[in-house]
Amino acid sequence: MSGEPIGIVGVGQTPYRRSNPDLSAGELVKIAVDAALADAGLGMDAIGAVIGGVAPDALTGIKDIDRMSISVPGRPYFRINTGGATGSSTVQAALAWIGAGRADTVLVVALERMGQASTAQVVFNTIFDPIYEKDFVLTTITMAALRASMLVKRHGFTERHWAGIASRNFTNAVDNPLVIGARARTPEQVLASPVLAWPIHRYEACPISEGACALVLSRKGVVGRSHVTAWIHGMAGSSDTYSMGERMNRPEGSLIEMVPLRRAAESAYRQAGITDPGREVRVFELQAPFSIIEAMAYPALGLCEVERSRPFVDEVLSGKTGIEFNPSGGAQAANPVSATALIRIAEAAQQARGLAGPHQRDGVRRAVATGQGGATQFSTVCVLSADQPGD
Amino acid sequence: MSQHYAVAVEGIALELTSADRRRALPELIFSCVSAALTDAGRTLQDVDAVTIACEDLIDGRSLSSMITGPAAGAYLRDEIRLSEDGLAALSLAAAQIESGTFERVLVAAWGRPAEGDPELASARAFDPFTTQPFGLTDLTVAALRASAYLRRHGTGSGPDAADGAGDGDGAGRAIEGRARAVQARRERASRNPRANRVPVRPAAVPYPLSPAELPTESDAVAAVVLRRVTSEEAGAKGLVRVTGVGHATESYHLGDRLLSGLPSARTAAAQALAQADRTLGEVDVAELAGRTIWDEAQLVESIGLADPGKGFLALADDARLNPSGGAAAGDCVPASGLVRFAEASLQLTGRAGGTQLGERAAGSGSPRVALVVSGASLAGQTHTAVVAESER
Repeated sequence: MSGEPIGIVGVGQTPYRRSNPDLSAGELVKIAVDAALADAGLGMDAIGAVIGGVAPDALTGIKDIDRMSISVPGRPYFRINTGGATGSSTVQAALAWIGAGRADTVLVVALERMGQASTAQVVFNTIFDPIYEKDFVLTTITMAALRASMLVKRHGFTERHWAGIASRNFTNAVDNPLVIGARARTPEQVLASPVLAWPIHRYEACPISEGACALVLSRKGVVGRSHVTAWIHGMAGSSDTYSMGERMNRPEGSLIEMVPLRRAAESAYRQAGITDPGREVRVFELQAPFSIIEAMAYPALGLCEVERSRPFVDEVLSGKTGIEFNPSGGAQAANPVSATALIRIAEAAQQARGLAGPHQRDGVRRAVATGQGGATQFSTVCVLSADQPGD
Repeated sequence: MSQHYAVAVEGIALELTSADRRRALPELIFSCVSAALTDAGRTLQDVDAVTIACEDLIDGRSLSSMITGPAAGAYLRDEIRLSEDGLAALSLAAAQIESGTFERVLVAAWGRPAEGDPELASARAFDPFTTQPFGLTDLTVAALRASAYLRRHGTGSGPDAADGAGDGDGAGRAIEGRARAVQARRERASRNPRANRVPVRPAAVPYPLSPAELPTESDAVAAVVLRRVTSEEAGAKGLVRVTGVGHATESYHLGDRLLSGLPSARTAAAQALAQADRTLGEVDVAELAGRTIWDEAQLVESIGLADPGKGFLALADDARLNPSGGAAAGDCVPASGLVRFAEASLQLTGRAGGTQLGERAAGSGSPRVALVVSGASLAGQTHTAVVAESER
């Protein structure tokens, strides 16, 4: 990262559950914001700007729900909406805002109220092209299934690989008190769950989740040096073409190679001085709402060659890599779409700060969080560390 | 403190059309973005990042930028989409350059009422239980504002009481300069070579607005290429720089707001001018994005470009205010602010065509300092202001 060091000094999250019929959107936001400000030891008067993150309006059923729930009178405010990557895009915007000298401290808040949607997949059908694709009943699940069948054909993956990843994530989530209703599941239980769209089983897919996440980001010097901070060493994003057909055969990589995630990772690692992520990063918090997305992310994050992605998954599942993936349970345990990418950064920050609670992993000095949105199309990578840049 | 880079406007394009059946929305976007790159003398390979403003409910896609973003150049480069007015996207893009994150950012904003109805979409932003049943939209709120304005500033015998611009409210109230302002707006729009003259659809006209005071609802796309100013070229003749930005927010609840004023517009404009180290008196051209001429008049007053109650007179007589014709030349949220910014930038570069301002009223030379102000959902709850300046 160029310029002055910027860090996450406050983290606040609500519990994540299917719906919150007893809480308004504003009340959810207040829980997260109060916790983040308390964690930072700052009041609202210290906040120079507020950046909101809410993805599709249709999931909530109210346009611009952020206006009534996140915006703060008297503070500069705007809303980011990059689909599943919304949360991490708010952090990118905050880094630019602080880096430009427009504020010393920025509050970012992401909110998801999809529990109010009658059927999320009906809404997700309408993210596809209204003329050429919508009537094929494409959804985020069938979109993932198309990639899964490619992985089967090209790399020899089996359903057991994805069941193993899902089982690991569900088991991790049991230690995360914010995932309400978390249950450990064995690979066999995952495989025994109904097939949503072959080869995706129900327990390889993310649940419907609601919740809010808030982060306080500050430039160096706003909080005392003794305040435990997760410093941002690298942050980058990349987008891809929408059309899946255009991503099948091209020099940059195929549909299942997650080209934008690879490019974002390369940039973020370069900023952070990371040359061997498998050895230099202890924790990865991945925005992978399906097991197959996580399997595709490993090579894109530089953890293995594309051709070795299946044996690498075998190594991950047998615990041979020394890397901790999704200690929080990840997006498979709770996926409040607008907030998920911000939650990944929050969880990675807490790991770097040593404040993750029951799911804290040992010896974490550096953690990486990813964001993923659209048709595996918008990708972000954020590198966090307990060490201040330059120290 | 780290170094903050200066930001220049390198390329501009805008396109205002009416339900062109030959082109899909991504084609409209691609066409305008390509024109902005051509104007900048650049190709997409020169662009580091794309910052977008668009609205899902207007574009008719639940995650619009997923399909439309690539048409704006969001391919294998950083992309951030705002569900905001286009001027807020420009402000963020400028911050990305000022912070040193990127050297060149393409900003694009669009809205296509031929596919999605902005009025219907705006209605969905009100509380579904307590407010939506009243049928509120951005336009009906504009009418409520106009009523509040009429009550505060209307007279029983205004000079334009007999000139037939729908100025009476049934109780003999009139607004000074209202009819002349409508006429001036129409004339400016007719001189604007970029204007769309055929509204996409006729709008319902809530009291006390009149049809001539509404926007010309248009399929609107605007694109601007911003880049970092190198130390060698600072002060170079013809260079247009972004020198000030301001943002402000009001309460969500209409009942908590001063309906006949726009305090967030005032605050945002004051911030932008202060950052640019400019005063209102130094502004050569102001492009203000209001849905109706009433909103434009209230923006003029809130910002301080006219005294309270004199906004319509100022719009009628002051050539610096919305020389493009404002929303009468074509408008659709959330492109409004970026369209206005493009018009202001064309003025600063002497390329506004039939609407180009000549000698300054209070000095000499072509326009040098521009102020652009635009609001966003919900009914102007937030405002963004930007000051742009050209070097002589």
